[in-house]
Amino acid sequence: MRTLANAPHPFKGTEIHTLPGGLTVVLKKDSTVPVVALQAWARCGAVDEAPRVHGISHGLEHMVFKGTKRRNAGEITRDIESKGGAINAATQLETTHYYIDIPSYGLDPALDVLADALTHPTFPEDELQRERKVILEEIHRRDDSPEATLWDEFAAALFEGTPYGTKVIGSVETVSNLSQKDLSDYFTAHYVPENLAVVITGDFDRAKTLKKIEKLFADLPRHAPPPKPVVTLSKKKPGFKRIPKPVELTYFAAGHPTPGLGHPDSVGLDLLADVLSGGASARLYQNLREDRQLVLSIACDYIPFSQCGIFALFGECFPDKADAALAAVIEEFTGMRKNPIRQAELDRARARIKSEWLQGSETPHGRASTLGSLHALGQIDVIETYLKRIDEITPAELTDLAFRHVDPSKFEVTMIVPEKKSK
Amino acid sequence: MISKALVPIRKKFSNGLTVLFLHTPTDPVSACHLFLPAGAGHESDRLSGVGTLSWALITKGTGRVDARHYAEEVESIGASVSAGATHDYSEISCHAIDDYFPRAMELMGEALFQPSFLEEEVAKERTALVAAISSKKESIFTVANEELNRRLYGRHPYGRPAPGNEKTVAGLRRAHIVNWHRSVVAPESAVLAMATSMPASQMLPVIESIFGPKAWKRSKATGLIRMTKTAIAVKPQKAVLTERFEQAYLLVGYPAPAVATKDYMALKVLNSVLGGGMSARLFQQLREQQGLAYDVGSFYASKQYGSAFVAYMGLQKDKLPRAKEGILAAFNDVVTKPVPKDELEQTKAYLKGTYILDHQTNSQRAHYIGWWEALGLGYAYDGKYVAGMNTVTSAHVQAAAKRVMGKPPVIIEVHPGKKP
Repeated sequence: MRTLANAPHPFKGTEIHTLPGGLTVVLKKDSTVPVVALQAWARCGAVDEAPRVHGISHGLEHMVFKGTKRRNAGEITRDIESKGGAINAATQLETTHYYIDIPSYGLDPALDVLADALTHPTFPEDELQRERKVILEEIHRRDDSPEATLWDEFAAALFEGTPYGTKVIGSVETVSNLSQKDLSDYFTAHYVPENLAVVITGDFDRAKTLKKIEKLFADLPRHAPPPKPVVTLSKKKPGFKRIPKPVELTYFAAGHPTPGLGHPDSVGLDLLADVLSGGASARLYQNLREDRQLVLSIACDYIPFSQCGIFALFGECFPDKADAALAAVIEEFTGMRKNPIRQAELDRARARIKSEWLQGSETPHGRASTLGSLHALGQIDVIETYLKRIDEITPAELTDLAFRHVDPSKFEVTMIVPEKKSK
Repeated sequence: MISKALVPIRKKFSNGLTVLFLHTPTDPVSACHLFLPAGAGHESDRLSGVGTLSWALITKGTGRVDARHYAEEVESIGASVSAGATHDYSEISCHAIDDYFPRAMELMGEALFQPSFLEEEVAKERTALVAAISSKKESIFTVANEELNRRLYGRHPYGRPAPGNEKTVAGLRRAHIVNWHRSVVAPESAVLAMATSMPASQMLPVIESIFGPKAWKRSKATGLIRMTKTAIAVKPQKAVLTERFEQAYLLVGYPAPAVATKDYMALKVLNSVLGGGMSARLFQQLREQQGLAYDVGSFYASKQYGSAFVAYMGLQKDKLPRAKEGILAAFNDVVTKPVPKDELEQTKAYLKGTYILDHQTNSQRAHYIGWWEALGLGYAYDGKYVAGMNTVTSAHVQAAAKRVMGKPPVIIEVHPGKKP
């Protein structure tokens, strides 16, 4: 067992245990509210899928709730909700996680349900037939969202030909063809102790809970997980895509791949994104929305994955202002030499980040999500150094980092535009 | 839910402002929520949206500093100040880590009492609000729900969207904003609720200095449209809209009573029985057993002058007949048969748990105690909510279901396709 002894509040003293079978358990006790967050993080997601079964990580996330050797589909959710808890799950490119938020008196049954679902799922054929229809509905629903379509199309263009370009939800075709055997094979390969972490934060008895986890998860198959796909980004020319949809406004994304989590500059890239658009006083908001009135909203994001990341801008504007807005975004970067990042901008970003750090971890759910996601991406120790690093970076360093890592001439651009006005 | 250890101090200023101070010693994030008893429902039809626009503007410059400098001051301490309006009330709030909380409250007070409402800022935010209203057409749920509200509430203010419509907002001018602000910013019946780890001895004088009697220009809100209870029965109707979506959407709704009326608790329980979680009947029967939809559930909002009990589903058009049949059968079941005891108990446990989960942050705690107090039920209702839920019986649920669902509903269908 090791602890995050140098982590700031509220993560200080977080315990990381590796059980004899290889399962990781992350515990952070805090009894200030009578609530506990229980999460299981699997180090697998859309990047781990073969093209024939795209969407299987997400499909499996649905199907683990559809029956075990001891419970049928309805019983899994009922056993949690009847104790006052909420249960759900989410799939991303590199991770899949399952979460239960429950008053502390419900932790024991919650642990039992989660362990049962993750160690003994049966993937009943009739349930698969029904759940496939539900997922197909989810795909149609996603297609109606301009923001979701923008992200899917942007990521696909940015990471074309690599696993990072995979649509997490899959396609109508691949989801329609997922079989019980596909699910079972994928589960057996990826849901092994080395790939899993159980995270618990909030109000619980540490020793008793740890013992219980060891017992409940003992049946996980013990073999090495498949190797992670190695991602090599192609040196393709950046593209520009306008996608007509029945929308009123134009939605755009512009950005390119960057180093990922674990790179020495990843904290700096996070800080840079906040300096540029973290609040109403940030330069992109002020210059593009307030002064030039080219956009209705603008957000700059650094999205880190384990092998690479994305530095991108996402905006909403009136359709007739889209080209000017994009040009203005590019000017903001090219003009940074003349208008470097100032100390006051950096100080405000630091204050925002520190405040958001505390607000984001105000609930056991927030704390468990931070611990679980960083562990799954192999970077849990970042918690000990993140805020320190935020305080160390100088304006000159940050400006320099922007020039080293962000090149607007290489921006991939995707726009969702109103159907009638598409060019 | 307020635990026994967390009971707010309640103070009433001589001008009518009620202050609730909740001491939460271990939470490093503090929150303050001010409720004013004037919302979008108190606007005239012609000026619909004036509240939403006014509140968007209070952080866009004050008598002392312009919008940019105001934002810089707020963000330099990692704080946030925001404001908005529902139909029933307006809510202005701030959050900050403890060290900066008194300063965040000063900045919130400055935005509330001294907004500059400069013409150029009014024009900018009006454009942004019109765009936001226009982009609501991209959400199939919003399209369906606004149609349902029009049909359920008719000319009652609940029948129109709280942010107004494109036409009314486009017609709003600075004078409308100034008048609205002058009319509604009044302490009588207002409630300021705070949850913080800072001691009362330190924070109550801060509240007094910022929100005390001297801060307010007038004591009572004036010139507001008086809201009345919504109709409890409407003509059964079905509306079919054709919009450019991939999916279809279905809403089945009934007029329902307001918050804290006789059937309120029973209907909250019923809402959980039918559509409150993944083990609820609509989710189990229509999604899990038939695979008809991804999005399915029900809602019964806590509103002051009347509400609606609504089931919703997003699905493929060819599944609409089965979905409608399934929803109506689920409604008929609760009208004709009592909810079995074990299901009722499980539902109550679910509601109790979700209520606890919904009170984990200081912002949530301040919001809830302030809201119950602003409704006139008193902050202590927050603690009584779960206890009240526990007294609900199957007979009461069935009786409430009969009163609400014993008549034909209003049905809204959104079909995918080209607009006619």
